[in-house]
Amino acid sequence: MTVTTLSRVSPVHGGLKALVHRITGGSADAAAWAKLPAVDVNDNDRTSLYRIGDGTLSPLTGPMGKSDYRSVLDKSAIFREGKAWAWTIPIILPVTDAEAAKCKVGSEVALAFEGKVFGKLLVDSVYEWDQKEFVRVVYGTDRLDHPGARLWTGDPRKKLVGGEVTLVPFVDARPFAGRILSPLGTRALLDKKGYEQSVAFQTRNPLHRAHEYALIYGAEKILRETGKKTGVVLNPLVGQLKGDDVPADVRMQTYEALVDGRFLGQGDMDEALWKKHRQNLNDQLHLIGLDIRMYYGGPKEAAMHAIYRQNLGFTHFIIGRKHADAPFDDKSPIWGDFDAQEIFQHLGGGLSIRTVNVGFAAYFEQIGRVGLVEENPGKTQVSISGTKIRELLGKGELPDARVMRPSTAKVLAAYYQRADEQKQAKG
Amino acid sequence: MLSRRMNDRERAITRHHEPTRPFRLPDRQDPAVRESKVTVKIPRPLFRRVQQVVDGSGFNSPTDFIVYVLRDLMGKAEGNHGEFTQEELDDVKRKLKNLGYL
Repeated sequence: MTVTTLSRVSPVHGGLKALVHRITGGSADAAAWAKLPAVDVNDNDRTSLYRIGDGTLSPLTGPMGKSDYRSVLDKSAIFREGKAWAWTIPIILPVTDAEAAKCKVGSEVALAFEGKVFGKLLVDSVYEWDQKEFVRVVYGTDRLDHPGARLWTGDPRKKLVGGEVTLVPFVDARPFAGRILSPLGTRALLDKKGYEQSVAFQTRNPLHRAHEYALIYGAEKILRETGKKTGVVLNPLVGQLKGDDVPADVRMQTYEALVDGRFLGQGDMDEALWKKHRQNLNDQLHLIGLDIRMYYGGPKEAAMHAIYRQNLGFTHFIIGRKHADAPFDDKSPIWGDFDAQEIFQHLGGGLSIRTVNVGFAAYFEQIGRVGLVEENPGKTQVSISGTKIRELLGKGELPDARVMRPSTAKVLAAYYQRADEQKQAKG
Repeated sequence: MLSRRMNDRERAITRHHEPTRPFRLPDRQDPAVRESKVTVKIPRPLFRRVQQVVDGSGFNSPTDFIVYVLRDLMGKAEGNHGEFTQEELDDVKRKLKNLGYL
């Protein structure tokens, strides 16, 4: 029954009845497109284009033209069929002046990465890119000394091109490629498993137990409220990150160790709740990578993360403290701790996915497990600084298991030891 | 009878669509003719409306706009929006199976 299906997965964003699907080209097409004037894109651009192609960024069918770009910056929305839909960061394709000259409105250009054509763009807009305005609006600050701003201000390309893409399939050779699912895949998973609701947790870091608890808390909150069969999805970003983030392949190993070992929630979950509803957290837990770039955009990126997850089909999305946060270089914060939760109260347009807010969490000695700080006033937190954890892992030692599970720590220790050795070898 | 005389309405339409330059057969040796483009005729009132739409839109000419719209329509007609091939669906199934999710 259609109604049941709709109640299990979120609708596609932007009022579409079906996902955008623009990965429809074949190798013969790519050869033909190679005769068109070409635009060379970088790794970040290509990833975004493929997320347009597979529908993660529905309803977009290509990089934003000027009207979408302006409406996102001015109204935090895009407009389709006269209706406003939430959108907080423009999805853009920057080009050089020479490339812009080749992009005639109404014409087609080839999209190439490292000289190899992987798609074409039907151009509908070529316009100036005011990078400083982009940074000011997206990040909410004029300051440029933060990782988010540097993504853009270092880009020598000063024009943007919009239109509709057609791409050839992406061949992913990364070791964790099998863990990455398109919206078609995630929606099929939710459907096959018969989940009546699903909750996704975004991360770009290896998980401490306090991080893990955000996913447990979110899943238990919606399970407690509805009693419905709940899909629980650990949905890390595996796209482009800044240099000091732990690489995706290492992070995926930590997540796989957690999921395959069925450690999530061990000691921290509400076992009675799961039992009461005849459900099992670890049976209903799925690790799915999302290949998309980080913007380090705090609240505005939190809204984008929710849009991606809606298109993936999830009904709920967890927003923790400091979501998608990266402070100024002097370590002072750009945003408040909970700005990423509050932005959902004043979005510029419609959004169907529901957010589950989670506060600070920590392991508390008195209760012998991880809990929320707000629910455990006056109790003693077990905590270790990030610097200390890094130091221990570098020496091959595992931090307190109350802070980080050994399954995660072992993978990280091996990684940091390798990294330190390589550093020393380089002198 | 192989031909008949045109009525007034047909004569009017013919006048309306008369080319502005004298008609000549295409010369296949002419480089301009060997270009991968062809001429398509559309009613002049429609052309005027297109011109109005194009003014200030970012399109360089009515031709660019018409080509854009036609390409967009053809893309939709070819099922590029939201339709997946059996191969793509099988690929998803295979991936979910490999992950142990099916």
